[in-house]
Amino acid sequence: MRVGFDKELEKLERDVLRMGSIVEEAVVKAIRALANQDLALADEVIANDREVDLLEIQIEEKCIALLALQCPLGRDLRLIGTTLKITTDLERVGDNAVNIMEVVKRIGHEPLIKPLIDIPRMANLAEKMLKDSLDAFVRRDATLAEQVRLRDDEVDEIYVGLYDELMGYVFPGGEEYKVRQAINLLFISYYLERIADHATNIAERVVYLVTGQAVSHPKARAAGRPSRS
Amino acid sequence: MAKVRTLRSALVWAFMVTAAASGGLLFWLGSAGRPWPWGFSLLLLLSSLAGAAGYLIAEEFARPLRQLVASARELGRGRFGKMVWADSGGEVGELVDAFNAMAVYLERTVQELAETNRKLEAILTSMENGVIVVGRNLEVLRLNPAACRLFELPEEAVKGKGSVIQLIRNYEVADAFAETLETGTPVVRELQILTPVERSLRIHITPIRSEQGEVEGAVGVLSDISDLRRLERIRADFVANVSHELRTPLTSLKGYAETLLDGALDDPPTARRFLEVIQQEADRMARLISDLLDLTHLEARGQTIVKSPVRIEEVVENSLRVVRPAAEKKGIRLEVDLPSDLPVLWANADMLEQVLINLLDNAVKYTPEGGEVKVAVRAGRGVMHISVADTGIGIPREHLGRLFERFYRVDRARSRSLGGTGLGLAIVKHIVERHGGSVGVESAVGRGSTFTVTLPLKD
Repeated sequence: MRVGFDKELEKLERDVLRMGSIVEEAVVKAIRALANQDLALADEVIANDREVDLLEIQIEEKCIALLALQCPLGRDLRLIGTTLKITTDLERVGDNAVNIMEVVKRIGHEPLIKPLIDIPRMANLAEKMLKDSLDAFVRRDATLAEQVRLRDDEVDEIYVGLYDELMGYVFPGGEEYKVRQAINLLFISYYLERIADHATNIAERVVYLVTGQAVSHPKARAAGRPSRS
Repeated sequence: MAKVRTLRSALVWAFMVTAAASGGLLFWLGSAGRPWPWGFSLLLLLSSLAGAAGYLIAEEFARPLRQLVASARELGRGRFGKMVWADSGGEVGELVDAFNAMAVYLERTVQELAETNRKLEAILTSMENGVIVVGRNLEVLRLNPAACRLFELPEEAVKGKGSVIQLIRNYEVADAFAETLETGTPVVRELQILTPVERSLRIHITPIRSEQGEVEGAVGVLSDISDLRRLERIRADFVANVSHELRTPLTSLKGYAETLLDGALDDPPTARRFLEVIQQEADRMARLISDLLDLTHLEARGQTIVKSPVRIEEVVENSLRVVRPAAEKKGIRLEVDLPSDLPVLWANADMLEQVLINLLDNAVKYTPEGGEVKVAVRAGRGVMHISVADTGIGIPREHLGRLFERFYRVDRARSRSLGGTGLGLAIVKHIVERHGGSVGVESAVGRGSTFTVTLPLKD
């Protein structure tokens, strides 16, 4: 019975990582579609998100079945709880990739109002955070998970800077397409910031999984969103 | 030892004699009917003697057995080459012989296995293809260094721990392995990995079956086909480019010919102009085709180029003669800077001339009227530098890297209006590289460009 349970847990973890790998790929493709204004790739990312949604439901059902039938304790219980949370975050990351693709499609082949520098930088940071948070999960590496959490501040900082910069294009009498594109780019940076947040969440779950200690939510999280009028 | 053996045998005999004697004594005492105290003591003495002899005999059996046990333990620990003394006869002796034979056989088998393992290990390690071996539950049993490199995994991953998706977080790879294990049939996939580096991979997975035919695992062989895919793309681009380049003059040939037939033929001045255009376009096509053939010849590897001692002064003189009419027409000064003591260069003179003509032709084309084109030659340590500098329009920095690619043009329309084929610099680069040299360019927009060819004096 217990051997069967261990197998089930292994399989559950494989499923989460499979989902993680699909989401990672979606993010990498989204960044590429954004950089190259590649609308076909954007459509591909949007279409692939369905599988992520299905996986989330499947994994959730599996977790609940294991909780109900096996009454797991200790580490096993933490693993299942963590899995439930991580899949939610992964699914959201997938959604954010889709959101970015929708904006990319709205921008289309319009000439960009400014060369993209900070957005790709932010995108790469967020992607690396997602990768590292999943690596930390695989290796049960609380130290790496902590590092991922710290890196969130950097993303937040870029986001605040971008917010100020892009808002500079939005003023009465500004060229219409520029205003529109500035707002679109603002959306993209917001979604990227969200991806970094979800990666941070995953990292926090890993810390919990390994140490059994819940991570308190740092103030930095709230400060990340610009609260201006 | 031999002495001990004789002593032992003597004692065995002594035991037998004593046993017989004590038996006789007992019989005699028994028949006499009354026990004698001294006779009883004698009996005691004899039986203790018998006991001692019995111990020695037991020892005789036990010693080789104990050695067997010790040797078996050694074997178990993998230490071979320890024989048991085969000095016993009878059943124990046979056992010892059998044990020794087994030890020899085991040692040989283990050595053979180790040898096979070493060979397999060497093959796996030196293979250029990635190899991933998984067990029944998708757990990674082996990864060779090539597989680690493909996914940029740390070396300790070679030991293999965790499942495929844990080590290589790529669901397509993991899915392909899962499919092989599930269906028990080989799976071949071509996939694009994006991280850590974008690569095209072909993965070929074969199930491993036990003697009973059950699927016990799978072996995946990964080959990096990125180069292949890139070459295919380059070839497709090339074909598309050539077709395009050929169609352009062809379209105007067709257009002018049709117009002539539709009535322009009756208007001699117009007809003449049209025919001139037709001739120009035909010339351009002829140039393009001859350039393409040149490139094809240059790219045909294996064909060695014939070199002979070349006086660079002559080559420069010959090439200048070719471009002089065009230069004079535009009022461009042609300058030459040749030191007097230049060494002899081993090269193919015709090819070298083509390099210079192509560079000079470009220089004259892209230099406005009244400008200057200068050829300079300098000898370096074992090499010769030949440079062609102009005071032309220059090349924007972003184009410099791709300038020597076939059909790459900074300004498509302008190049064509000047009669370029888009292949001149590609030919230059190929010839120079076939000579073991290199070509570079420096340029400033509006000030001019300098192309420098560096060739080794000898191979």
